[in-house]
Amino acid sequence: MFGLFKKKTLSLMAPMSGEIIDISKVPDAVFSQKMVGDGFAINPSNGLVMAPCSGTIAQVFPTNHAFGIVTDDGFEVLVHIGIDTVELSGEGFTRVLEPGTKVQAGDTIIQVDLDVLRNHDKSTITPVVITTPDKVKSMDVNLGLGNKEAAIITLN
Amino acid sequence: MTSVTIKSKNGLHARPASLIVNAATKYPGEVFIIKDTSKINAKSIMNIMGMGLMQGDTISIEATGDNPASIEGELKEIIEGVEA
Repeated sequence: MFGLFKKKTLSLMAPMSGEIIDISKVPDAVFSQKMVGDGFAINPSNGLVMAPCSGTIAQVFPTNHAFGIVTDDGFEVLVHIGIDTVELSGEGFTRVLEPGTKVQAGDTIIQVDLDVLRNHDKSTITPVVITTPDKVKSMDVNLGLGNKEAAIITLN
Repeated sequence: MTSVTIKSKNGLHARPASLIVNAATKYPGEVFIIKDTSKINAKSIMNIMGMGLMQGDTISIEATGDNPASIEGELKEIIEGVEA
């Protein structure tokens, strides 16, 4: 009975180690103005990029700089590694898992050499964006260092 | 239905995909992007990026509703105007 009124929530972990920052601080208007969607970003300290939640890998862009996860509820989240990194045409990025793979939160999907990004003057800041805003009632982001639970999302 | 070839060096990545979604979402009817046998909803950024469209790919834009030519033309302009 009470289950009917129980709020449905989804926890997103930070897909990379590092500092969780507000999405409005991302140095690219596409993300900071939430054109892609709301979310958070990471200033990463190493190059392992993991699934932020359990689900299925919906897509990995051909250059391996972005991937999406879709949950069983149809909630979609996009991880975009670095800024303007599409211009690297895949250099520095290694795909670990393929689209269609079922993943648990924390499974490594991409490995990135952050020094390659830095050597090309690309920001390593990695936005994590919800691309299905209609599924989301509210979102609480835990800013700062070392938060494994980066955001709690209340679903509609 | 409107046909367009992607000329930008980096294909339809996050920036152009978000411009397409923002335009398509304002259109009241359905909007699709078609390539070969894939037909996806142009209002979903994940679907667009998932197609992995790269330079040289030719796609079709197809809309339903009262004025499909307006949104099809707008999206063609966005796609052809992508700089990188």
